[in-house]
Amino acid sequence: MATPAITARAKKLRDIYLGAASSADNEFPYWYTRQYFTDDCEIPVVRRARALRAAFSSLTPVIYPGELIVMQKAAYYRGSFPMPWLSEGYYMAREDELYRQALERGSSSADEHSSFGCGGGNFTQSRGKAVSIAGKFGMRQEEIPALLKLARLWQHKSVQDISARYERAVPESALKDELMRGIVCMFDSGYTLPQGREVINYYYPLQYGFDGIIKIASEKKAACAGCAGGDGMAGMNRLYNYEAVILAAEGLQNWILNYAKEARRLASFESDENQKSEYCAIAERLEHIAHYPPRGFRDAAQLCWTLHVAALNEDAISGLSPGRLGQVLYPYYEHDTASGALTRRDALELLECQRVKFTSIDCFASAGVVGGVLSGSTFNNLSLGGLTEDGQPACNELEQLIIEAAMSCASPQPTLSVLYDERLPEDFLLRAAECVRTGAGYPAFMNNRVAADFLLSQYGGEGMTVGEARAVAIGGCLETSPCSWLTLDFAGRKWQIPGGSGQPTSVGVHFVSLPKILELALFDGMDMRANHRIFPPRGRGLETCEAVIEAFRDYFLQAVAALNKCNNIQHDVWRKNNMAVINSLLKPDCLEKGHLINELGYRYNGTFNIETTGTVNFVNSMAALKKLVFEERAVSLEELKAALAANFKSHEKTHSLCLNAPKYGNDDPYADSILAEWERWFAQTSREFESLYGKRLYPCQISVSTHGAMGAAAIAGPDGRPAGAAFADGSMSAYPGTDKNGPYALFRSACGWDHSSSQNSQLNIKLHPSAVAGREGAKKLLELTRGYMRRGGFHVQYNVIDSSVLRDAQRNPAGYRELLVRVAGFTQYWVELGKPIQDEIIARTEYGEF
Amino acid sequence: MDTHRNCGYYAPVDVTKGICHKTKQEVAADAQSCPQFSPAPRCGNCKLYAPGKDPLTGECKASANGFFAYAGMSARECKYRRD
Repeated sequence: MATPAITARAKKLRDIYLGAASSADNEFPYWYTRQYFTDDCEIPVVRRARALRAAFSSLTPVIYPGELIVMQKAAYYRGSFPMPWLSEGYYMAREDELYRQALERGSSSADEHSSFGCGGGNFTQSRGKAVSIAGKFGMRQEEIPALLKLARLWQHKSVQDISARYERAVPESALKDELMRGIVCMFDSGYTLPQGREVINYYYPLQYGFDGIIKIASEKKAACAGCAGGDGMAGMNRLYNYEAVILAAEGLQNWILNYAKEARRLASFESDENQKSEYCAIAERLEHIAHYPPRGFRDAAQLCWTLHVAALNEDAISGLSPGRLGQVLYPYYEHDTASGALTRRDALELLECQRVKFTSIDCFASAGVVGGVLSGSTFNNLSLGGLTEDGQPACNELEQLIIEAAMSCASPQPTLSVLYDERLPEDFLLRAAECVRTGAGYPAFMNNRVAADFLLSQYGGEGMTVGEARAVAIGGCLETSPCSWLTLDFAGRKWQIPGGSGQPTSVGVHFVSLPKILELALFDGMDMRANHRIFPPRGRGLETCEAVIEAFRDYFLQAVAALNKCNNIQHDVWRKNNMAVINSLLKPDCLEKGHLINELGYRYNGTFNIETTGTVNFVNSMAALKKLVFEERAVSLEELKAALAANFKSHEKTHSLCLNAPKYGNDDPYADSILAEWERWFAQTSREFESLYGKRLYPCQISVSTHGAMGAAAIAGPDGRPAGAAFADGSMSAYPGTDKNGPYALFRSACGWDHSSSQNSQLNIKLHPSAVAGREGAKKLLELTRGYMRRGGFHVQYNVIDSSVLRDAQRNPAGYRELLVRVAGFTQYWVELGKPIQDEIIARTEYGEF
Repeated sequence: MDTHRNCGYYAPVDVTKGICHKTKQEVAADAQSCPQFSPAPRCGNCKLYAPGKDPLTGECKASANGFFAYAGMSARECKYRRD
C-alpha cells in the first residue's frame, strides 16, 4: 500500500514546527517561584502544590490557526522553560556572560530573522533580540535578567545544591565526582530528569473528570484528617497529600479554562467562519473537560493531551510515554464512529495533529543532557498491540489509524512500538512493517512475552499478576514499564483500559561506560584520555584473563556503589521538596491510598535501575584480550596497552590483530559466550543494589545517544575501535562493519542469553530500501522480525535508508530538513543530531539483502 | 515601538517570529506592527509595575514581599493586573 498523503491541516501545522526554533521563557518558573517563596513554613507537599497551581493558572494561552488539539508547555510552538528548583547551577555559572548578552543585544534586522536551516530547530547562536542558551534554546534578551534572578533565588535551595551538600556525607562521593568528570558515568538523574521513562496514566480524569477527582480527594481528606490509619510514620500525611491533589487539580482547571477563554477571544474577531466555529468548538470542549469526563473521541483526545503536557510541566521529564493510547481512546472512537459523530478521516486528521503536538514537546535541560544523552528527543513512545488482560490480541482499528497517521505525517513523536506477540493478527503486523518501510524509523518491535516475564520477575513481589503484566507498555525509548488495567465506564459499557502504574525508570545509575571501565581496569585506575587517576590503584598484575575480569568487576562495583548512593540522595531530596503531585494523582493507587510517589503511593515502585553503554565494544574487547593476549600470546598485554594509549599509531600490526579478533554479531560462540557471561553477572549483580525506596535495582541496556559522547571520552579499545569513536549503539547492535554473516547470525549472537533478565536490550539494524521493497518487502521484514522474536530477542528496530543519502545529508543539511533517522530507541530529524551520532549511523552495517 | 510581539493579535512561534491572527501570516517578532495594532497585556503596562534600580527589571506592587517583575512579561492571565 502506498504511503497515504498528509492532510492539508496537519501539513500546515507541521510546517510551522519545521520552521520553529526551540524557545524558552520564564512565565512558569516566575509564578511558581513567586508563590513558593510566599509560603515559607507550609507543609512541603502543599507548598509545592500551591506553587504549581499558581504557575498553571498564570500561563499565557496561545492557540494557532488550524489547531484541533490545543494547549502547550509554554507560550512558544516548541516552548519550554527552566526549572531552577531542580538545578540552577548552569545559569549561575554563566551569569556574567548571559547578563552581558541581555544588555548588549542590539536591534535586529530582517536578515537575522531568516537564517534557520542547518541544525533544524536548535537555536544554536544568539541573534537579534534572542540569546542562545546551551546551544539549543532561544530566550528573549529581556527575559535573561529574570532567568538569572530566579536562578539566584534557588541557589543553595535547588535539588542539585541540597543534594550536593548531602552527597558529601557519602564516603565515596569523591569517586563519584571523578567518575562524572571522566565521563565514566553520564548524568545525575535526581536533578536533571527526575521523572520519565515511564508510562502516564490518563484514567482518573477520563473516568471522573477534574470535578470528580476534587470530590474524591475532598471526601478522602475529610475521612483521614487527624487519623493515622494504623501507619504511625506516614498515615497523617494523607491529609496534606489530598490537599495537594485538590490544589493541583484546581490549577489544571484554571489553565484549561484560560485556554477556553483565549479560544473565545480569538473567535470574537475571527473573520473566517470555519475558523471561528472551530475556535468556538475548542472553547466549548475545554470548558467541558475542565470539569467533566469526556463525551466522545475529540474530548478524550484533547484531555489526554492536556494531561500529558500538565505532567511534563510539573517536572523536568523526558520519556513520558502515552502508553497504549489507541486502546485508551478506543471506547470513544468506537462510540463516535458508530453514532456518525466521527469519520475515519476525521480521526486520522486529529491523530496527525496530535503527532505535531507531541513532536513539538521540548525538554529544557542542560546541554550535556539534551544533546549528549537525548539528542533533542523527548521519547513519547506510543505502544501498539500486545494482549488484553485475558490474553487476547489487544490491537484495534484505531491503532491501525495511528500507524497510518505516523506514515502520512512522519515526525519524531510519538515514536511507535509494537508489543509483538504471536497472537497478533497478520494484517496488523504487516501494516506495522509497511510503516517501517517508509524509513521513518518506527515502529520498533518489542517482545511482549519477554517484557511480561521481566515484569513478573521484578514486580511479582509487589503483587503483579500475569493479567496485569499484560498491561505492559514501553516508557521512554524502550524501558519496559509496569502498567495496570482500570475499568472505564463509558456510554453504558465497561472497558478495561491500560495505563502506567509505576515510578520513573532509567533513574538510579546512568549511564556507565563499560569500555571506559575496562580502560581503567587495564591501566590500574588511570583515565588515559585525561591522564588522571579515577580509581585507587589495585596494585595487582593482570597475568590472566580472569584477573582482567576481576579488575573490571571490582571497578564496576565500586563505581555503581558510589553512583547509587549519591543518586539515592538526589532522588530523596527530590521526593522531599519536589515530589510529583500531578503525575501522582494520575497513577494508581495514589488517590485510593492518600500517598503520592514519594510515599510509595504508586502500585509498583521497584523501578530504579543500572544503565550501561558500550556493551558490544566491551564484549569485543574482552574477546580480543582473551584470544590475542592470553591464549595465542600474539601480543603482550603491555604491548597492547601501549598501542591503545597511542591510538594504534605505529602499532599497525597490533591494530590489525585487534580488528581481526572474534567479534560479536557473527554467531561466533567465542565472543557470544563472553556476552552471555557478562549478562548473567550483570543481572545478578544489579539486584544487590538498593534504591532509596528499598527496592532492588535491575539492568537497563539502552544507549540513547550516550554511545557518541562516552565513546568520545574513551581511548582506543582492544576491539580495534579508535580513540574517541562512538561505541556501538544500543546493547545488541553490532559494532559498525563487524557483523559480516547477515542479520540471522546477528540474531543468534544476540539471543545467547535470557533477555527477560534485563529491563530491555536494544538491537538496531540498517537496511537498504531495496532489501524491503514493495509488499513482499514488508513480508520479508516481518519474517525477519519474527526470526528475532522467536529466538527470545526483546527489541529490534530498523533504519531503512541508503547510506549514500545520509552522507549527502551530512554534506548538504539544508536540503534534508525533513529527513528522519532511527538513532537508538528514538527517531529524530537528521539535522538535529550531533555529528558523532550522524557518523555512527552512517557507519552502521547496511544490509542490502537477507 | 509597537512591534508585532507586543500586539494582542500575535501568536509567538519562537523567540524571533510569530503568526498574526488577523492576517494569518508569519511576522517578525520585533518588526513594526501594522495599524491594527492592539496592545497585548504586559507587566510594563500595569499600574502595579514599578521600575527598579536594575535597568532590566522592576517590582510588582501586588506582591506583599516586593517580588520582582519585568516589563516585557506577559500579563494576560495575571490575576493582579491593573490596566
